[in-house]
Amino acid sequence: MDSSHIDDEPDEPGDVLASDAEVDAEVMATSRDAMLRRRLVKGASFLLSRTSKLQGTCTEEDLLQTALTAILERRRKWKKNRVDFIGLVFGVMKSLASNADRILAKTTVETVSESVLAGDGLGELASPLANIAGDGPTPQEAYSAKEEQAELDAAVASLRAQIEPNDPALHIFDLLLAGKSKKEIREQLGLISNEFWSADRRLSRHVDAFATKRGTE
Amino acid sequence: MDLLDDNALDFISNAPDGEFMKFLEESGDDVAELDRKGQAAFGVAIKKHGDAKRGALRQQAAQRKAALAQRSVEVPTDRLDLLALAKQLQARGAAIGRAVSLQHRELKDLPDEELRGFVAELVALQTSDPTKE
Repeated sequence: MDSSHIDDEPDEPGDVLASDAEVDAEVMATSRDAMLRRRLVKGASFLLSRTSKLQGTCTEEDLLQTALTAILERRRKWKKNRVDFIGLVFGVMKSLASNADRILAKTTVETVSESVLAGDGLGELASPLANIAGDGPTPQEAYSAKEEQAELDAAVASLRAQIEPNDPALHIFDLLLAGKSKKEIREQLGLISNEFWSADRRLSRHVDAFATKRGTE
Repeated sequence: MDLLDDNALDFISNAPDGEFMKFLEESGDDVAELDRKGQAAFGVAIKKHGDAKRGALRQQAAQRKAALAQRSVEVPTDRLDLLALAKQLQARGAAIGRAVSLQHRELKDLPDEELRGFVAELVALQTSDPTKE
């Protein structure tokens, strides 16, 4: 599955759009497949654990159901040449979760700004004019970005430290961060299918646990 | 982190069933609960879509009915126009095997009011014919 480009992108000449009947049939077929349903619910749960504001506001059922509805109502197109049906649902869930989280985060920040800034003499920073006055980031924004990057680096280092040094999962970890594709990694490590998926399972397990732990902190 | 997240999502969607089930077990996921949630999500989405489709069909039927009512209102009032339209509709009705009885009378013998009723009946009959829609 490659759900990195789903359906928010404009149609291109070679795109093959699924017909209404094909979409309906695929939804019905997937609804009857227990393993696929499990994968989708687990994926929804994983995506929610990566959001800062949305988790706790909606459940994995809500996210999956909203994505399926968007697909069934053709608000999200299925370009069959780019992605399979499961990849489409994952991609739509990812996009929905990310958009909703961004909106929630923005709303929360604005609410906090108004109440906090009004009392400490920095109220003028909340003015829209203050936001358009400069071209580059303000010192405060630059500091926040630097802090965010430092937090991310620490998180990656902490996650890496949890993997056994001799575990091929650690090599997958490093090669993924070096920008290699899964196919390239498997070839480079010379692992047979079972060995590769087993190592990938351990890595994904660490990533999942890490996301869940961060979400509950 | 995005690369690692995407990789984990790829594992969740594409790993062989055995590895995926082991992953769920290690994560402490309750498989029965996942199944229940999956069924519920699909059930609600499919029902919602079905309801919307039925609603659209009902709306279409109401629009057809309104169009039919509009057409019956548009039956001409002028006798010559009425006679011409009645003749035309009679011929079309005969071609599709649908007719309204004139009770052994000629069109020209019908008074205006009956002629309008005859035309309106033929319009309704022919418009409701599914082969003509």
